[in-house]
Amino acid sequence: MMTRFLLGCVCFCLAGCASSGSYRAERAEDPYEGWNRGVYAFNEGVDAAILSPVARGYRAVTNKPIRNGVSNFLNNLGQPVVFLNSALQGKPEAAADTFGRFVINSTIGVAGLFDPATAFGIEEHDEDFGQTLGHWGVQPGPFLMLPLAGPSNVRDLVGFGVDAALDPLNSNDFEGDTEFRISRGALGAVSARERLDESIELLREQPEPYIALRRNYGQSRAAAIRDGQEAEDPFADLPDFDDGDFFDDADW
Amino acid sequence: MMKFPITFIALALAIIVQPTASADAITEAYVQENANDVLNSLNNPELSPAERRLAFQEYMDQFANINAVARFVVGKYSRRFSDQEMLEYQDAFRDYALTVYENYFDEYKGQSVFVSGSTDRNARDSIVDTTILSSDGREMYVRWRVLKRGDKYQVVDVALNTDGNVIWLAIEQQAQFLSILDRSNGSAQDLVAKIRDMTADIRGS
Repeated sequence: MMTRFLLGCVCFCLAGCASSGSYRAERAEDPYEGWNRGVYAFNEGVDAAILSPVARGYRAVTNKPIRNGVSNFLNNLGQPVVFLNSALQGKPEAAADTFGRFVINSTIGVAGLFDPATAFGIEEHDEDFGQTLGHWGVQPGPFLMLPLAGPSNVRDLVGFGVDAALDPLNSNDFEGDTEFRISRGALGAVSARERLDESIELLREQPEPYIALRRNYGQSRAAAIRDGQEAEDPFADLPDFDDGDFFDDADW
Repeated sequence: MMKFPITFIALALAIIVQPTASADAITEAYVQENANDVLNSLNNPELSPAERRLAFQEYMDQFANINAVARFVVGKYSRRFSDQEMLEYQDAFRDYALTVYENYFDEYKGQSVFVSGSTDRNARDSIVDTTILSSDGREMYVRWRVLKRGDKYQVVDVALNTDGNVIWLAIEQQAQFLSILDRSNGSAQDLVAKIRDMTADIRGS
């Protein structure tokens, strides 16, 4: 979930979202805004005190190839869940790609430290159960800001729980399993925080970072459900500039 | 005998419907020419940094209707601000917007803008799709929303497309500014102070 918190920031360029987002719509998607803002402030405090310094220390003592290796390794561990969700969404090609990537990167790629599958031209996919629910028409529900985990919504929170249950490394017992899971979670958080450092700084430069994060999270999740394709009618919700008193003839 | 009238009606309908499929060439040419001028203005080696900024601002003032965007961004509050508050806000917003855009487009200075398509929302409201190649070879997909009044065109919003996530800058700014205003009882002074702080931060970074 920490990764999701950080990924919520990643596509943030200068600003926001495509939907017109009327005030009423904004309220409807974030009925717990007061609570969510409190949690956001708490998360920012934790980030400033712990995550950010640790991530910057990690960047200082490692070079790019090492960080890429760690990121590849963690990513490879998640591929069984991506495979299952690709299958659940009825995407056999994506499932086959993911299976192939997992086999190649786990063997030739030395337990996932390297990514030869990309060099072989096998496409990477990113699917989770939140996306699977969205693929089959489940709406996101209210926005939620989770302690330590960051932005989510009801659909993605359910999805996170299902993904955790689907993950073979969580559902099977093995020697040292608890230590392994804690280490995986901690390393994942530090690795993702390091990768997103610049994006998070950009987010904090926004006029209202909480609003920016909330809107970008919803929009980027919707784009992920569409597999990066544009919405069917991307201009349908654009506000009409002529509707308001926005134009002064002197400006033209 | 009935074939001609039916074909004729179908053809007439097709001609009537067709103009909504793509924006007119004038809108596309408007974006192509002006967007390239804006990017070139940031890359003129004969100008000092201050002169480049001035040239950029002059191009942006011609290309985009920043006062209209400023009013749009504060939504319902545009009718609640006093005239004096609106003037102060528009002045601060203009400074902020130009600083943000200059900062952003700086990465693409001297690059060429290519029009890849367009869509008419109606006779006065068009979206033009462009591609800009950054200095490190990355392609950026930028959309320009162009409104026409009389015979004059102006850009009112710009969108970036990242992995299907289309980001309209003015719409996002509106969401954030309205939240600031809602949480400060609609205080124009607070908003102006915030905008000036952000502008100073961007310039200082």
